[in-house]
Amino acid sequence: MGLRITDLTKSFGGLTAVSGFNLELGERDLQGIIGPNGAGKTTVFNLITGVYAPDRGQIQLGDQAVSGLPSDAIARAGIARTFQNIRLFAQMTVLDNITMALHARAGYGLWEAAFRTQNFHRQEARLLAESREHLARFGLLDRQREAAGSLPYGEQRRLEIARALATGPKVLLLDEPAAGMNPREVEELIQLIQQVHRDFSLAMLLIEHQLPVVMELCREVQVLDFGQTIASGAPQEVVRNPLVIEAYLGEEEAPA
Amino acid sequence: MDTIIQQLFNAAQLGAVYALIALGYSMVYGIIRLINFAHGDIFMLGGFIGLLLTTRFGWMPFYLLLPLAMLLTALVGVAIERVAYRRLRNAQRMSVVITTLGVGIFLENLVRLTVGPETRQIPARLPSAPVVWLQQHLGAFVTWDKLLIILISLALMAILWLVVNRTLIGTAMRAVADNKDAVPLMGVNLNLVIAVTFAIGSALAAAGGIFYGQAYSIDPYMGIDLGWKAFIAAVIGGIGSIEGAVLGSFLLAGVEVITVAYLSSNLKNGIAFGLLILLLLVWPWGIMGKPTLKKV
Amino acid sequence: MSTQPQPEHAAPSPEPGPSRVRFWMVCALILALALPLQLSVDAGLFPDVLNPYYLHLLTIIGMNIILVASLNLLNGYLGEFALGHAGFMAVGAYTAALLATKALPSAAALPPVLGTCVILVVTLGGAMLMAAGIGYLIGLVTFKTVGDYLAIITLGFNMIIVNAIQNLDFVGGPRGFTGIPKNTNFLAVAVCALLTLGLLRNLIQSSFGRVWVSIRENAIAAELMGVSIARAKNWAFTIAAAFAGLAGGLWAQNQQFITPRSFDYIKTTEILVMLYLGGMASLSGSILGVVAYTLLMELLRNLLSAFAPQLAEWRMLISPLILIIIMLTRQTGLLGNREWRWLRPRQGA
Repeated sequence: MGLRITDLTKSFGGLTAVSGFNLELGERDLQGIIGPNGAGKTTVFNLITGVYAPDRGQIQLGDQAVSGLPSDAIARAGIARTFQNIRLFAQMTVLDNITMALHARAGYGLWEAAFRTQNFHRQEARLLAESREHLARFGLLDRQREAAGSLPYGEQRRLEIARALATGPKVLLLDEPAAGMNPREVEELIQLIQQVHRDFSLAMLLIEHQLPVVMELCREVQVLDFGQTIASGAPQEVVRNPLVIEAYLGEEEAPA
Repeated sequence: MDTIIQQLFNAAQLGAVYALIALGYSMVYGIIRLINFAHGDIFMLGGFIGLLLTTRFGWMPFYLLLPLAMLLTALVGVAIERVAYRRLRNAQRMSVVITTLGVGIFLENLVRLTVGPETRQIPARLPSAPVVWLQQHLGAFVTWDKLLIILISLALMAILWLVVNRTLIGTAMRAVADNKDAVPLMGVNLNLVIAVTFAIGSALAAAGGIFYGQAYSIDPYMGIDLGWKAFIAAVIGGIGSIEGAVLGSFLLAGVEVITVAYLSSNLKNGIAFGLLILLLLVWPWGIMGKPTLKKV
Repeated sequence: MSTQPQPEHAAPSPEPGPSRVRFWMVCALILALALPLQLSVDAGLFPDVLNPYYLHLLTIIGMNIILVASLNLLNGYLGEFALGHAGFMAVGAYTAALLATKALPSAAALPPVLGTCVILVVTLGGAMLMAAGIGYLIGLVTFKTVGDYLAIITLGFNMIIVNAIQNLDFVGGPRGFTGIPKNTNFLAVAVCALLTLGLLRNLIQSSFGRVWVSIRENAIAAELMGVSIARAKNWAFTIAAAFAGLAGGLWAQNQQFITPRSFDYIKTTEILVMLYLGGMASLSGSILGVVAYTLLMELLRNLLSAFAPQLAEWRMLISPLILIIIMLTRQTGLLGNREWRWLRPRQGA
């Protein structure tokens, strides 16, 4: 049950943001998308998750066509994501950030919640236990009562990944998870992603600006520039591709 | 034919008043993205200042009285911005909106308690004779004051357009509307630009209040009703757009005059709000507003 | 969007700990006080101490708590800026008034206590259903818009509802609806207010509440976690409307006379003042805000009329001033978004 994308295209008022994007992401794959700023990477994620409707192209999650569905339906179909600029529920507790993500599996209705039936108490206890277990997996259990917005940056990233995973996705999209991190935090992040890849049965797609992260994590990457795939393959080969070097050198800061 | 032309003038007069109020809503929203709920009450206050000047200074000719009332109301508008809104400029947007609600109710109650809740009419200072030319050629009975109200309003709008598009302060206003944060970097005094915006908006509303008080009547609560109508007009036209505010005002006044003439005067408020809701569903950003793209 | 971003130093939410006072205990205590109070006042006992005026004040407080707490669901927890609450109150008030006068036999024909209970359940149930139904329909339309436009459109519906009632002759039109039997007393209002607080608390501290708050905190993230924003908002809107209808139903059968104008935007603003005075996203704040505001207004009325009777009206200037001062000095209201312990959930159950 993977993700297959064919000929995905989107333009904004004459400017083509993504053009003819293809992707074949296997059930347990971990692939990367790299490219300079403004290359259309995040737009690809926004198209996959239904934030924007594609102009053209197909997105298949397993047997299900998800292109054109509203964002929430796509999320419920099994695609979760994180955001380049972290989007936690800042004033909710760390625990509630996770428990909220289980809303689709709450197991009780409005009336049961309003009148606190037996079933409500049972299900709520289950949700709480599951959430705590999930937090423990990510080493955030001792933070459970803190406001999510008050966590240090690295832990906010970790919580966001944990929250996305709590929805039980089949595909996880990570949008520049290493952005703004120091080298030690990046190292921890790489380990975290590897651990997730090992422990959870899902496919992952990673957008990254920092090449070393992708080189370490992914066996296959695509390079986007001006909305077009200019190269794809194993990261070690791709970085030697003259087109890629040129795209990156076109920027002020060369890749680290 | 004659009644249609008369109705057209009625609609134009009402639309002119709406436009004078709607412009203030639209300009303030355009510049600091604030729905100034107190603006309708500034319009009401302008009407009462006009009433005060007309009754206390009976010798004052209209061409002096109108600018003076506009000036005084502008001062009130600027003072309110200075005292109540400025320090909330970087706070949560809803805090400011709620503050404007509070200011509006404060003004209403202040006028009600000091002047009284009665409905009053501003003594006519414009000639009320019928326009003979229109009567002879079109058979329409239109009085001079109605025509003058429409013409003066249009002139004020033309002046506003010139100020916004042809002067330095107007350029600064448009720059602030475009990007509030970048403007101080360019040496423009943001506080001054915002104060001027409030001053212009309040002055125009005062003119509207005086015209309305001459053509119909004023009372302390008219700010709610008329203010909301004008606000709807601004939204219909696309809030933040000057041309939109004017267009929306005449459109709304037209619909209202038709409703009163051919359906029932009780329905006019309901129809005005119904129109608003319908339009917002079709064009969520108004006729002349610009849509914004969801940022992720 | 309606609450303040948490400052950096914000304390983590405190360890709930086992609070010994539970919600049901507070309810029991209030009812244990309310019942003898109501009976004594009805019987005219101790007229010097138990002035019916105090009971009237408490009744007003109870009805306002229902209004403010339910609006808090929208403006505090869901983080929208809804401005039409008085409209739903009007729907409830007129529905209850119609049911009480046209549909039901007079209370005299029914057994004394039970009869009143039946009448209340029918009229208030009808009021809630009608308000919820209208709230649901309006919500369908309204939640296509957000932010500023939502505020405008809800206020627009408030005005449309008032305007529609003014045009309905069989409920008295602009002259108002008279001759509603007095079926409500303080006891009934107290029961309804406690029920409202309990139900709202239960909902807020469930998966539904977490979803609502998550929409306030970050709507895009909530949507991409599989939340149907429109559906979740519409639930909240419908529920809030139902409780506003309940308050309206109580109001009509307490005042015995209602006019469309008493449910216009001035009323909505009064509800807003109490809400923001108490604090957003806090039911404790809603209670405190209502009590503080109502007492302050009465105090001012008495103080001002002690100087001169005609000054009493000047308190109408104080109310908007309070709102402005709260916004300028303490935007989180009296309680911020803290909750009294007996209203907090029992964690780790």
